[in-house]
Amino acid sequence: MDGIDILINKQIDNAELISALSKLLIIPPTEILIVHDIAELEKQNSPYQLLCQKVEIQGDFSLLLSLYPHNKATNELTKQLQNYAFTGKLGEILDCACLISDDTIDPYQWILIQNSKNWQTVELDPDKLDDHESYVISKSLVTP
Amino acid sequence: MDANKPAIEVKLPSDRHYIHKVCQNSLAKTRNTVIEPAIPIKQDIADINTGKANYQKDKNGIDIYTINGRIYGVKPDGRSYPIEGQGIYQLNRSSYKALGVYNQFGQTIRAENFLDKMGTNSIDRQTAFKVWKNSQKS
Repeated sequence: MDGIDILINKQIDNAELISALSKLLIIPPTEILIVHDIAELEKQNSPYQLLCQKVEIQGDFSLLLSLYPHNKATNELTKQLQNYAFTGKLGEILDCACLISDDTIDPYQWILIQNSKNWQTVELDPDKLDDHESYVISKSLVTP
Repeated sequence: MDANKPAIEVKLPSDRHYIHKVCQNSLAKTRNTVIEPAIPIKQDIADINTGKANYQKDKNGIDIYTINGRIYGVKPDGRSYPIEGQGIYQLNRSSYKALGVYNQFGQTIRAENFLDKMGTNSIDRQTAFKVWKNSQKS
């Protein structure tokens, strides 16, 4: 199943993140699993609908959230994750800006989502990204 | 031939495009490209820099170079990225993440267990495994 990678420009604790995801996706908080490293999954035997891997990053964004709907999750959940409005609402609840993939193969071009009604195509600084793994917006492009 | 020579020196693609460098927690786009280790990418980029590649602009204004059966995009500052061609694979997000798991854990039950827990479907898993396996031969 397809999930999504979301970069957010704020540090969020696990409880706040679970609360936001639970509210938006209408799934019980106990069905959301947050890990920092995939190896943590080895000890995980409880059922969950959504896996969220939370990784700290550098630059204009503080966290990379990788969301994976689990096998038992519904197709509806998967569809919701792909929707710009979901990321916009997540940003509104968490009070942060979000960066997600666009549909191009250009690794530097992304979608910046400020809220559920405001998004724009932006370009990440190639030097900072490639040489320092730092996610810094260098310019805005056209609004999709 | 000079018409095809870039105004700014074209640089090699970043590590995220090399199969062996992809990690499970690497940031993934909806569409990603990776290159087999055996591909003479340095030669491709050298050929682009000496004007041997075919040049065109795509509909989005991106500089596109075709050389030795492979297509590269080039940003205004010279950063390049593979698009398609021999030894270049396009992977969706799920396959790209699965490739990272195979890179880290190899062809093991442990890797398959992680992919189960990530909800990776069999098609994306097979795609990633094929790419990973091909890279082992190189």
